[in-house]
Amino acid sequence: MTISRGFFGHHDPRAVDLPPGQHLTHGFPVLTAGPTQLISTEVWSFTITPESDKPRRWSWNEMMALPSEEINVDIHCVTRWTKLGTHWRGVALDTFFEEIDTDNEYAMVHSYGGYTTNLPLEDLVGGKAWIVYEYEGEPLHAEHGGPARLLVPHLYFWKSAKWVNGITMQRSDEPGFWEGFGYHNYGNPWREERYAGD
Amino acid sequence: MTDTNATEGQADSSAEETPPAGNHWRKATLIGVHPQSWHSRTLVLDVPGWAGHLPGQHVDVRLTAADGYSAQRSYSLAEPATPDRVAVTVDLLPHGEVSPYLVESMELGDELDVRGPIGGWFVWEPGDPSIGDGPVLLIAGGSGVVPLVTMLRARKRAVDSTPTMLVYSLRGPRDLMYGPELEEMSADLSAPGSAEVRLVYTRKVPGGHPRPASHLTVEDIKPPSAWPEPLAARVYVCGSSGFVDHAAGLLHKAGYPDDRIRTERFGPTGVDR
Repeated sequence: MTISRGFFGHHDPRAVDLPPGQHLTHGFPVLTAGPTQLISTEVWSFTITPESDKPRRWSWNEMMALPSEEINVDIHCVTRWTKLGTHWRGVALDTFFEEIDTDNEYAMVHSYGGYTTNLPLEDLVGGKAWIVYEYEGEPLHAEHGGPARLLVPHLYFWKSAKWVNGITMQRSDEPGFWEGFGYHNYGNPWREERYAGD
Repeated sequence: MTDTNATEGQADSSAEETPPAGNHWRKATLIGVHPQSWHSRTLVLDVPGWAGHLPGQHVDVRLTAADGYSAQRSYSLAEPATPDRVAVTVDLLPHGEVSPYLVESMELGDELDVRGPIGGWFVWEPGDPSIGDGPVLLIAGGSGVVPLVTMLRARKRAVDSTPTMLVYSLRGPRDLMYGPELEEMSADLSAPGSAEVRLVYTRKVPGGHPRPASHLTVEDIKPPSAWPEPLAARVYVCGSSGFVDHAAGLLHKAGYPDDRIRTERFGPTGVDR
């Protein structure tokens, strides 16, 4: 650590138990590589493709007919902001995967606009991940990934793909979009896995 | 110290390798400051071992107080690569935690830590084959101009003749960053490394400026008539999230497909109330 003469910092008392290198935000900053995608719920769909190559597709209305949950979590962006106590509503990935037969351990998440991100399947099931469509009681805005995005709050937020439209099961792990640009393959904020090699 | 670009367990995926992000903190010493607008300045840091970067990449900055408290932020690199040298241009966020130190308090000889370079998507370098030889349209909102000026500087340094235009949206004259440099760069469009620069003032217009104050319009991003295939341009947009979405809407209206547009969104992230 290099001491910066004359720097004191804010020591925000609310910033307890943040992952290393994070600070609090009260806004909801946006990190997107391209333009915001504007997808209507009429055309929106979500497809899981297992190795059998028999994809299972859900339309918006079919997803809305699934049991939903309220999720109250902290979120951590690799650009160093953390937002505490965010409220979402959505459908657990466990619910979708009940209908999927797969032996593959890796998933590639796809979004409208071409974004991808990779995760082990075990990080998507077991009550750890959801497809969310409401934020703070309102329909999720396009800017934040609406009509629906993935929410995987235990990893850095680039894994919570905006405008999600599918998951492809894979035998082996491959990097997604940011993972191919030097960001960490897994992205655990508590171990500060920001960049490749962390 | 040796460079440790750990890429353990990573297969070489393609011929177009992005340099892995630098993985360790390096001590940086402030060796130069250049005021920009009334609320921003450029800091030039001596960073032994800094190996270089691409225009558009960022650097992580870490400040540590005497009691061990530390804060980190990311800033766009403000100059093309020079060994052992890092420059950032920082805009003051009035209630921020880090920017007031960097813009107002830090003095020559003071130190901090840097890590990087970071990012490989929002980059442009002269002669990059992945971009082809089409024109380049740069659209900046406020301090979003910083990485785009780094691209223009790299282009000038390489005497690259890719047709390039910067459209720079800002509130008023006192918010202008890099004013003299942009004026010089656009004064003679036949000079090597020159680029067309359009200043779009949204609130207050300096005397003699031909365009009245208004937000960015589709007319402002219209490419110069000399551009052969304007819609083949690669477009880089950097600014606040609202600005980027507004600009992307205009680009769509003008017929640019999404896959030609790369964006980077800036914004205050710290506790500010």
